[in-house]
Amino acid sequence: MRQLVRTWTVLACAACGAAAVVASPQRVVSQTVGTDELLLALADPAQIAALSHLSREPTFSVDANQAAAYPKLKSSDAESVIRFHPDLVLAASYSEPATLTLLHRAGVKLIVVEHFESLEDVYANVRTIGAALGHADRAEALIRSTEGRVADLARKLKGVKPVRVLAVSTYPFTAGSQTTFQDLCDHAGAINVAAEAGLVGHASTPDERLLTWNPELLIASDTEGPDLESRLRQMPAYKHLPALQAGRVVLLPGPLLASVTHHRVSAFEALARKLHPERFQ
Amino acid sequence: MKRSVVMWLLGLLLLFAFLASLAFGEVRLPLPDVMQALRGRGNPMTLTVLRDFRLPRSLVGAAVGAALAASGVVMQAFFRNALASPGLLGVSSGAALGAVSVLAFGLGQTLWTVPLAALAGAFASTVAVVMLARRGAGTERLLLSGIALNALLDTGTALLLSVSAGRLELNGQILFWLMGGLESRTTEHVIIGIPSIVVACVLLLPLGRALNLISLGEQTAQSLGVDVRRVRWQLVGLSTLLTALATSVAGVVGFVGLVVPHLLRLCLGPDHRRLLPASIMGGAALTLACDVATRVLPGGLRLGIVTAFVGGPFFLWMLRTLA
Repeated sequence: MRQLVRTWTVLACAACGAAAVVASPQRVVSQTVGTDELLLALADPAQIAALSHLSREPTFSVDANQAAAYPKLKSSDAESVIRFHPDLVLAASYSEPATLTLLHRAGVKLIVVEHFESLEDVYANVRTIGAALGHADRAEALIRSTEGRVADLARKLKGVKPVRVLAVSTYPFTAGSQTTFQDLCDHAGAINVAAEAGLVGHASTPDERLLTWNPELLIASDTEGPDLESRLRQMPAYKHLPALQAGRVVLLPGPLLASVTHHRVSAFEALARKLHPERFQ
Repeated sequence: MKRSVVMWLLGLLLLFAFLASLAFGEVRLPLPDVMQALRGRGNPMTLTVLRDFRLPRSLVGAAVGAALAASGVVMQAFFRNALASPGLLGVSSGAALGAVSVLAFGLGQTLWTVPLAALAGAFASTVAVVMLARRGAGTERLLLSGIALNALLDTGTALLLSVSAGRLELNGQILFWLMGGLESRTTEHVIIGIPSIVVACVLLLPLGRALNLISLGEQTAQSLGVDVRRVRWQLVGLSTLLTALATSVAGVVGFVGLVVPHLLRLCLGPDHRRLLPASIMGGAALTLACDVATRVLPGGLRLGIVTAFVGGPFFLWMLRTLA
């Protein structure tokens, strides 16, 4: 008898699942900038109920201009989200746990993006969200196009001598391995000297050891402002670096540098152009 | 003003603040809808917002304000010092270190861990301060030990902030917790905070007379028949418990425990039998009102910032007026 009930339950769930595939969500709310970018890339405009509260900030979002066409959350808390009557909410592992719990208890369907350090992570996120939105084909097309750009870049950079680079900022931290910056270096013909020295994740920039790392080029976000170089020269950690003394500082668009989505390929291309301009003539 | 009138006004103020806390927010809920939803009627959206989001927030806010104000009354009477506040014995700093430890090591993913770690930190710091005071809970030694421990615990919190500074999302969570807040409160916060705060307040209320005598000085209280040693432990224990519970569910919220007892002492006089219940109501109303301000004012204000904005200038004004 129990087996029969179980079988019926499975069949009923399968039927519900089939119905769910047909009825794709029509009021999707994104709670973070990363999920905003995925939603904008994959959803029909009519499916988007609201984007994150930072979605229109050009210092954070690659799609700030496009996002201006949609409503945005006032804050990232549960009430701000529920105001839009969402049938699907996209959030990230760094969203506040209590907010996610409240939304879950309110019966809202949630997709929480957990990993985004590598391109493989990005592709997995694109697939998951594409399927949930009812646009699996669009997701596959986006992945194919991204893979194509990555492969094209790899062909162009084949055989180049990698440039030794370091992520710098007036906030005295740098990026080691297992970061999106490492992924950027891996695809743009660069060696991340911080990762080479054993730094994992984001860590404080060491003053003295830094002199032994010998970066050829410093990479920073353009959101730091045009006078970044002169401010770095006043910081003991950087001012003795030959790269800074020679003015070898590359500024990349901040939202691209921090992107956790397919947009990071644009950062790969931008950095590769700066590091190996001869391959792009 | 007649004392009974002040008590009635406080009761009305608390009721008004509680209703405002239920009515104001991002989703517009007119008062009739709020009243209907409280009776379980209305559309699902209104019910969800009121029952799942705002009611826990308002209940926790009221309990936190009541606990901090009651603890402030006890501390000011116990130390016979108008500047005494609930965090004086290192309770808030201990709670902060407990919560920050959990957040900094990425263990704050469940709703129980941060409040429970904060509670553990608060009690550990209280045990430490009493042990450091050596001769039981003598006021002067307790005070000095509390100051020293506060500094030490704050350094621990600063160390953890520094260690986690490279993980911006964790750092943001820690800073927000340290600034106090009531957003995204859940049933878990209600369960952790409210029953124990209610019990502690109920146990504290009959101690009003003992507080009156203790505030005259321990020797005088002893000569008037108060079992000072026993009352001292009761007061320190209950005050610690109230501050620890409040901090565990709302983060570090300053000034409520300092300002509310002061203000009400001006209106009601120094009798703690009235001051205690009045402060409990006043603290709850002030915290709820400040929380409403965080929702309606622009700029993403935090509760601890609003209470400091309200409490700081008021305190300075009071010092200037009474000097």
